[in-house]
Amino acid sequence: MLRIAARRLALAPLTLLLVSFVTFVLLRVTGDPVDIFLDINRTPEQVEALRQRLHLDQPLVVQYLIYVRDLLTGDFGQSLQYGGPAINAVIPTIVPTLQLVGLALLLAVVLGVAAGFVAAVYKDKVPDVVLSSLAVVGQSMPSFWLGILLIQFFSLRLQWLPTSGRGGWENLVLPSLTLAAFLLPNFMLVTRTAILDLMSEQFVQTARAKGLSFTRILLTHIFPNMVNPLLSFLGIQIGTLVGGSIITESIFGWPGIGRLMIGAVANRDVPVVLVTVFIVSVTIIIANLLVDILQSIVDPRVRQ
Amino acid sequence: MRAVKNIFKGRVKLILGGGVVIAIMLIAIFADFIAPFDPNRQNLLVRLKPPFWMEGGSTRNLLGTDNYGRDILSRLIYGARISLLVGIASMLLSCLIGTVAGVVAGYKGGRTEQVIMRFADAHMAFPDILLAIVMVAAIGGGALNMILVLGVSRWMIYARVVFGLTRSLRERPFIEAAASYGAEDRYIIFRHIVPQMVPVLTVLATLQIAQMILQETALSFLGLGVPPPAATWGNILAEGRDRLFVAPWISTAAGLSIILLVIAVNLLGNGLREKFDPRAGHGS
Repeated sequence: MLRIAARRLALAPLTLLLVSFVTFVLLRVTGDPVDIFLDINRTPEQVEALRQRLHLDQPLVVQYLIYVRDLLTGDFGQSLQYGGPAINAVIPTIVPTLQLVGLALLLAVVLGVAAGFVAAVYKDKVPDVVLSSLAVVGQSMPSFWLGILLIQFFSLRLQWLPTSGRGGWENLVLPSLTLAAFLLPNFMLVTRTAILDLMSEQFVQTARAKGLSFTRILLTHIFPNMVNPLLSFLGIQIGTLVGGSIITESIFGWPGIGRLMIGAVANRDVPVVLVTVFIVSVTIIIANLLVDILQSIVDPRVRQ
Repeated sequence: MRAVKNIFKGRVKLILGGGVVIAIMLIAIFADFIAPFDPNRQNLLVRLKPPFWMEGGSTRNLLGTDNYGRDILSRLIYGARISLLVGIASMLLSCLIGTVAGVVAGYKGGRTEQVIMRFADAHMAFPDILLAIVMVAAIGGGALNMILVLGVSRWMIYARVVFGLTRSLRERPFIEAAASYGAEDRYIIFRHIVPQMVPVLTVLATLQIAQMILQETALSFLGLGVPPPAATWGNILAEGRDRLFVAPWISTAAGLSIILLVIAVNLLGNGLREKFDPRAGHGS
């Protein structure tokens, strides 16, 4: 287990280096950095300050090394919208995003596993056909439209829940449902397949032949073995979850890191774009690491 | 998937999905003749008119108008053009990059394989929206940039599939025979390996078009795609969100259009899969 964690840990800085390289090329090399970082109303003093900061008089390789050093020390530059270091704008957005993503993940796992379980037990009967068809429609539906439909129904027509903003629990219901919908259909289908695969395994057949009750088989043979496929699927879906959270926050005006990111792009606040992209990247890497470690704890076969 | 397969057997899927896709393509190509109005012409006298079946609507604007009095049906028709163009072009780009990377990794093996496939793994974990955000911050939005962003962000899906196929093909006797006759690598790749992949790639690429279209509408919706006032489905949806209270039909029309096209493309892709692979059912 330690070996796997160590190998993954070694890969993490490599991934980050890749992210830094791609952002460097896009933000520095594709055009004149002065045009990318400053708007039309720039003053000569601002341009001079930027040249100094980014060391534009140095060769590109030196610029890149300075860039990586700045990233490592958390120096992303000054925010154009908010004033002060860009990183300060991000800190208050982290908790709201974690709340949203956490609740959505919980909903997606609980509802997805429950639906997949029902579909597998009633395979090819009415519940399965209905749920599986819903999943296929769900996969084809832009989840951000679902968010709009939810606002239309629960906020405008029934006036039960607020349309946007952050406050009590009632503000979290619609955003977390919308974000959960990004993952729900896939979670359901993966659970269904995993259960059906397990049912045909020899150890389950044996348990049946021994006359164990269905509940017993489920609890002792099927559920424990389902955790691993679900975990590896979760690992693949972390990106979807993060991307979905950016969209969901924008629909519901949720003051998280995703909305900050989109606002920064709209206002051409490049330092804030950079810092948000980096923080999200680091989070994704850590999340993947956690999934790997969890998997090797749950399933001894992974450790070999 | 399996449940739907029971309702629609492969052929029905192909005809239904393919039919709708072709119809939408024709509408997109001949938008200039079909659309009743110029999608960008504003007419403030008829702003926020509902569709014709609702109270206050008229048959002049069948699906109603938006906040500037632009005809929604016409905007949807022109929007299909951008969605299909971006969807298909970015699919071709990512298929090209991914196939080249996958064939090279699978055929060369060794260190080349390690570098390419680890790179693919690292990219796999990253949401394409992140790359899109940085790219738009650097070079701005627009249809061409959208194709670039989406094309670059999905190459690894093809790379992984092609890599697996190439590796298994390389061990097959007919490839070994060609190599022992002295065929060059390039000849073997283009003559023996790539043609074997066409069925798998066709299915994968078709299904990916659906993903690309969804992603394009999402990016447009966020203001990262083709900038307004261009008529894209994502833009119409975003405008509809701002007028949800007074004109809910705007976002509904765009949302239903997206679902229709994406379901049709998915049906077509699954139909193709069953046609090419009678065993079907396994994921791509």
